[in-house]
Amino acid sequence: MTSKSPGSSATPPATSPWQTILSLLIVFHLFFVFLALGSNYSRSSLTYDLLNRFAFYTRLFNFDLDFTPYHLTHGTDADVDHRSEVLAKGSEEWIVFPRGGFRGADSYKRQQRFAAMWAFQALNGGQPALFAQALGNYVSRQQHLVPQQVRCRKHFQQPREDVAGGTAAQRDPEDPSRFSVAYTANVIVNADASVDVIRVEETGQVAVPVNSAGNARGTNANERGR
Amino acid sequence: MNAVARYFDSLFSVCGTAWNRFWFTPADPSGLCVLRVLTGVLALWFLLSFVFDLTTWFGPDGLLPIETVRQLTGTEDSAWNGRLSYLMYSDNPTLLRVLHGVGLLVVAAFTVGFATRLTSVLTLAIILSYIHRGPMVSGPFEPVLTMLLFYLCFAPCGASLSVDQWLRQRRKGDSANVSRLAGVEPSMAANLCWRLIQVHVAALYLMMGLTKLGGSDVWWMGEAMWWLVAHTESRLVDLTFLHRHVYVINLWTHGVVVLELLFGLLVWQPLARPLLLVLTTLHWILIGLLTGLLSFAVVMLVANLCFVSPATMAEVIRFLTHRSRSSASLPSVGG
Repeated sequence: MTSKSPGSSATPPATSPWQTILSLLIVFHLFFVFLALGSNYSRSSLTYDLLNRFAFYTRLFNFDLDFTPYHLTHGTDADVDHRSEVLAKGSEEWIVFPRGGFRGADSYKRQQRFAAMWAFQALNGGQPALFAQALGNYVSRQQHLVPQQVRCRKHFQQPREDVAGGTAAQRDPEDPSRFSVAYTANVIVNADASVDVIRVEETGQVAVPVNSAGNARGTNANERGR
Repeated sequence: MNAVARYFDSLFSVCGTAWNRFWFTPADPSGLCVLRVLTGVLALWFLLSFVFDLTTWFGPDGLLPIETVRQLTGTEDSAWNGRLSYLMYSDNPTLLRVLHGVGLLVVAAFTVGFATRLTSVLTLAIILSYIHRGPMVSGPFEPVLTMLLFYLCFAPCGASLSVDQWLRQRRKGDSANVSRLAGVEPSMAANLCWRLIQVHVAALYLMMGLTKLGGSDVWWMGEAMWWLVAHTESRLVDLTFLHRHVYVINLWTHGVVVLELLFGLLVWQPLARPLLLVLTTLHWILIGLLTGLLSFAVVMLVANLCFVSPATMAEVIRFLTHRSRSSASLPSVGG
């Protein structure tokens, strides 16, 4: 079924100048492939600078994995399910994104990743207001709803011990205790249909509203590689 | 000193010969042609996943407006950070749909092997444009897909199983008896691309195994698969009954790490390869069902095909086409 070289029957040709050039290109290419793969989880200053300097190759052709979680899970807060939610004016029920559908669909996964990135930005000093504003704008103009609040929530998994022998609440995966809010903002729809968001901080604090120019700016997303 | 010099001379000679044999031995491009079809189908699948969501993400009132993406990627002041996308220049819904339709046609042409040299490059550019337009919502599927597309740009992947081959045969006046795998000459380019895909896939497995062992101890402690099982909003199958079977969870977790590390190291051994391919096939099916990352699981199964020899693939395809065309006789494949 298998063979050392793919279906070859000819003897290897003698080395030629073209083979030397190709060999150098192969080494160059594989160096950056291995560099990108090896830097996916964490980066040193050296690997970070190398990948940035050669971004015209590594990022352009998507060799730079950009901290994509190929580890699938480390059991941390970042590895839980995330959801974006909108509370429309006059409603008491939050609209959840992704809005049902087949969980294996790429469209479903993209909604989850949007929420995950939103939560990451909120919890790491990034620019979560951009996500909140985009969601408010989308719901207002494309879904034709008047958003009152938007939020990003984490849905934590149950530890195995809870499922095995916990209380009724611990055994219920949808129990409110399994959810945590990463970011909440009030939404203001202006007369010109533009959307502003005001982050809901803890009691006693007031957040500066963020308009379409994006006044609240935190850590540059490139520090995380995105 | 003479002994040292002789040692290094011998070392470089052996390594050089092995290097040349590994990279530059002409090989049958049939496997790459099969890979082209499957990768093209996956690229079509990727684009089709945007059909109903195009304006949701990339429209003027979408979830990822152009300005937002520029701010998040640090390119709001026109600095270039390696990302390039024609979708960043307009968010007009009609234009987006037209571009999307054109993209689907190009990728379909690549899949069926029409003007393969051109459509392979265009397909890569199209897929990369969608990824670079919204990098924050791309996952593990996209880098593997673009990796395959990148190498197929340099490969003679239109040599067979393609409209290009049919047109070539027709020009020669031999369309009546054309085998889908006839007239395929071994080439160095085919071997080079095939080997690059193999090395890249092996390195990907190693990376996946190693990153599981860093960060936290859930993979060391054998608990990681439970944390995937317990994802209520992602999973396609409910395996929470495994909470009663700790050893199964532990074995599965350790098995995943061992398999990914061993694959990257041992897949080069012909004896180990069939077993590793069968085990990883089972692995990706389970991961896809557990995490909902179906596209990622499928693209890894496709990428694994780079370790199946083109001769074997040719035999399978010949068997299938012989069964579907029971009255036709197929000429044998060279190589």
